[in-house]
Amino acid sequence: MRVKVICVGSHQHGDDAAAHLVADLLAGEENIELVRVKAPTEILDKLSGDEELVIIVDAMEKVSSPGRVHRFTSAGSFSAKDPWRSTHNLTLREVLKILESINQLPKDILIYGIEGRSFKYMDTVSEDVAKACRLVADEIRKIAGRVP
Amino acid sequence: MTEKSREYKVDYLARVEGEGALYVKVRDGEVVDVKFKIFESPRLFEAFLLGRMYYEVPDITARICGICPIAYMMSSTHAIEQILGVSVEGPLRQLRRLIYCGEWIESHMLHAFLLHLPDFLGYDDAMQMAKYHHDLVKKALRVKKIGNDLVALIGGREVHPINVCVGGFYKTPTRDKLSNMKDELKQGKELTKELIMWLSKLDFPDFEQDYEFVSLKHPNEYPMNEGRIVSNKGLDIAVNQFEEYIIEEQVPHSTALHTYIKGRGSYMVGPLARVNLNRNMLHDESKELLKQVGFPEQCNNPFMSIIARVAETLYAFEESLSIIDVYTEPDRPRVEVVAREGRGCACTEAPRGILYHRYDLSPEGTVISAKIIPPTAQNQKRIEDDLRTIAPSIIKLPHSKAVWRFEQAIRNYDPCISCATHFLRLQVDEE
Repeated sequence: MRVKVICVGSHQHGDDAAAHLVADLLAGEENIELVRVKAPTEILDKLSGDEELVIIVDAMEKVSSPGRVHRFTSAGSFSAKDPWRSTHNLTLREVLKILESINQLPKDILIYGIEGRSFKYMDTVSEDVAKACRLVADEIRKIAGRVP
Repeated sequence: MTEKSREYKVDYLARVEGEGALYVKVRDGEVVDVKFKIFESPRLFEAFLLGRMYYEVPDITARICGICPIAYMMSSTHAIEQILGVSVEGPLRQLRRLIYCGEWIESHMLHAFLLHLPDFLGYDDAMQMAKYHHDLVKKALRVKKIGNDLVALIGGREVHPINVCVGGFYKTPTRDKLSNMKDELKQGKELTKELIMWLSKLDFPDFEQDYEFVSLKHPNEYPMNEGRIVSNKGLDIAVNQFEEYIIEEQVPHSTALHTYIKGRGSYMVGPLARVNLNRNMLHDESKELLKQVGFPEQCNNPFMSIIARVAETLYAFEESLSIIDVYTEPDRPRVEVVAREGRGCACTEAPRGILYHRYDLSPEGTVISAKIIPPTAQNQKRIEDDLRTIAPSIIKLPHSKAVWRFEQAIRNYDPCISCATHFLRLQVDEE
């Protein structure tokens, strides 16, 4: 079984590129199928419904401290109040709920939210966030190593 | 807010692409001010282009939008080819139409079924709608995916494709690869017919306006990449006359420029305008289905744009299949070009309407000026006019319903605020 890891974000807006950094760190890993998307809406086309484990990595607005990693195990486990707002089409929560409604979301799903510091245009990923990305990549590597 | 005043606010309009707001002021029961505000930061792409080589322009402008990158690539390549004295014909020209079909399919399905349809069914969002209409959503997503697959097949990837260049493509697909998509395209076509039939049963608000519809018009085909700019009120100009007739103005409440037709006023671009002005150029099945669902010969109800959008999706499937049927692999993936000085402009039909690009190149082929006028910027003034007209009936509704109906009226236009450089906050004050 391969783990599908979907990394969401933009390279052009500072810490929004966190998930892409995670993808860079996981490139070439066995058992991992990497999918990079710019916006949550693109995920609608990326799941067929027959995946066993899907991991989604996305940057989040700052809540407490940049680089803090949040883990969710279902689309319903983060509320509309979580700072995962997207003004662009559909939010991650909306996309996951839609996929859940049409039975295209796997039973096992893990969502990593990495709190960012700055999402300014043309900023690079901040050090706190880069450190968190290495932690997330390590965790995903371990999870992928455990799957049969 | 006094007794005589009311305030409606939507700080961030949902289900649009980009960031904007709406402000409506009502005094003694009269609507005195309506502003469709766009506050997304200016993107400054026209400035980024200065000093870049002509061949970098399509890839840079494609970055303006993740939903309609092909439109940016097509308008920029055609404008630059005009300067370089190049005309792209034959299978390369057809491939350009084919990749545009892919973009129309994915963009139209996203807007119609996930962003706009919840308004008609009384749901706050697509999440709620999907719970009760999961087969419908599944079909729409299936159709959307076929559009994405088509873009990826020709463009190298579905978002911000990388295979389009001045003169044609970096690499062209084999006949086999395109033929392999035919079954999927046929399936998409049939699903789209079902979806149009379903949409035709919706309850559309009774709202009509005397619009000036503007689109490209081509003598032999439904417009995508070429044609004259025409309207239902007598506008008939070449693309290089665009700036003589279409005037841009700055307004304090928007980071996107408003446009209007000189001496006339606001106008509408997009699927409804295209269908109204080019219905005879649709393929047979699209024409027949529009007739079957009773779509008016000239439709002046912006809420029915959802049907026009999906009818164009059906057209895009028919057109894709007919292009693939006769496709022969071109000898070369692109026409050779040589840099030269000059000015060129082009308009192509983005999913949301005409997208104008104009460039000046130096003798070495670097960009010395660039101008981009996206469809949402062109529709902004018209959106405000719609809101102003519809507001007196809307403000009689309970607050939450009023806000919802205002938003729906804006979503009729599928605004891409990021493209216009520009999202939505709704605020209605009454004094």
